[in-house]
Amino acid sequence: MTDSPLNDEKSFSLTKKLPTVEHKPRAPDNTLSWQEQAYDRLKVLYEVGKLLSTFENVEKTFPKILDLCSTSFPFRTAVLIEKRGSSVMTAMWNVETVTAEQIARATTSSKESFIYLTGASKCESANLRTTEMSSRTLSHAQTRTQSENKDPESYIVLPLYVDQLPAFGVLQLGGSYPLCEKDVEFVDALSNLVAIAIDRYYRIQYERELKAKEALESSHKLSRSEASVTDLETERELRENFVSLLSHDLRTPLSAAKISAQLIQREVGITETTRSLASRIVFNMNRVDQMISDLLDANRIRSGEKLPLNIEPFDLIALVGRTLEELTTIHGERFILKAPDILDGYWDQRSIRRIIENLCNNAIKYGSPDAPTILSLSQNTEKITDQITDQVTIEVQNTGDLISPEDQKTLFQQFRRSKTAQDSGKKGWGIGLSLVRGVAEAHGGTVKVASDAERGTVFTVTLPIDSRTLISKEGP
Amino acid sequence: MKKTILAIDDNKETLFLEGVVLTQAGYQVHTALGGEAALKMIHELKEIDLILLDYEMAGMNGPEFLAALEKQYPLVFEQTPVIYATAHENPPQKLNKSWIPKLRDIDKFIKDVERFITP
Repeated sequence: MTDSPLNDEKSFSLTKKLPTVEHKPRAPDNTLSWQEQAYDRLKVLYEVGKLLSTFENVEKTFPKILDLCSTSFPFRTAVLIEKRGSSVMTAMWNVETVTAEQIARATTSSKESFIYLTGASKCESANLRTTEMSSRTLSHAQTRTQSENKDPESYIVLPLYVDQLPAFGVLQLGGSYPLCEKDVEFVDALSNLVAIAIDRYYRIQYERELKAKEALESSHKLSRSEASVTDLETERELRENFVSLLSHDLRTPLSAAKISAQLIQREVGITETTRSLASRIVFNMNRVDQMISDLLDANRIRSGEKLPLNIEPFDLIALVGRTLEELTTIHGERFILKAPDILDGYWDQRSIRRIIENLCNNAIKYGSPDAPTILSLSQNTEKITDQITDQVTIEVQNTGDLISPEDQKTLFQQFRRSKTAQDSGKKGWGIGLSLVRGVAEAHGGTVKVASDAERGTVFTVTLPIDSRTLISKEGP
Repeated sequence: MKKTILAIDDNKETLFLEGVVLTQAGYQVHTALGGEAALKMIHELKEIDLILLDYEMAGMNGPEFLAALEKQYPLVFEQTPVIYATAHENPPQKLNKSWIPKLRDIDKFIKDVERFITP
């Protein structure tokens, strides 16, 4: 036996001795008829089946099974050996009357059976002396009777397998009397139940482990992506705070310079040159101030904040007229206004002025220097989902280089400057149009662009005639 | 009799210009560089018609100054109207006081102050 690979206990990565089962072996009860005995065993199998359906683990479930079986089938030793992956687990149960020698023999015998039935390593060369082992006459079960003279000990060895051989383990029951064919049938049925239960148990465990692993991996992934989202948010917050702080801090000295220039303008007895220089300072400081406002608002739009609006009733035509007058002082007579006499509505004056300024400045900046920029204002109604909405449309049209369809797609994104704009060599921050869109959307309106050879480039801003409704709808 | 304004700001430039602008607009103006300076000054001033208080100041900020004022000069605190000057476009609602935007344009600033006090 020393040649058997399984004699080396190291090959059993997990060996467990389990608690002794309180069990009294009994001789076959000859007083029972075979029908009564069959019924008795059927009941046992039924109970074992019930137990196995809630198979917890070998240590917990097996002693209960053996107890049940012993009521109908007498045995002295029970050995369970099973192979799981690279490890082999052996468990042994025995009754008190069993001698150490009997245990040793049962163990050896079960290991041999295991090697044989599972095709475990070196099984061909293993010293499987007993001829009985190889004669598998009774379906899966092995009956072996020791020499009756000496120490009558018979084993019944059952391969544990599901679907097909080789088995993944063996269950061996040992008794001290010869086993009949009916005993083998009973234990065969028992082994099938056990095999299915163990197989199912490990499958479930495997699935659980897999799921746990997947869950762990996905939670790792999630935490990683959460971390990067947090990083991005932190970065964004920092940038926004930076812009906000910078703007406020810039404004203080800027205002001081501007107010000082305004005070010079008010001085009595200064020369015309001084007054003119002071007014230049004021004008340029105002421009810087406007840029800071734009930057702050761009920051607001970027962070998803709504632009603060001060909605009030006014005549749009008058406002556009005033704005164009100011723009004319900068750019000259470059604008043509096509509009009705009056167009009253509810909007934010400062914001509308910025829309006009931005679109007009762009038209001058990138449009043909010889052609005028045409502003068209009109009132119209549009039916949106059964609701007739009064709208006002502001169109700013210029000729010159066209904007390609690709550039049109990203034109209203922040810090995006179209290729045309970049190629023009003109400087810009790429926030003007994103502001126009932000302002239009804050009013519940839209902005779009069309650029073709026929009309040139046309920016169209559409606003509801009364933006109060939108504000009140969206309010808390 | 000119109306008296106590302007409190931690920025020298702003404070100086507020002083000039409000003086030119016809007010009697006292300026204090920060809350602590203002508290030291208050008992010397006979009558204040309006306190123009910078909201965000290094050291003692606007609300902290008011808390200290209430503690040290409860009578002044009770009887003197206070307005905040703030750089915020949308100041927090919890200010609990009227506010005007900081000095960015002379005419607008004078108009804002006149809503609370005329010279």
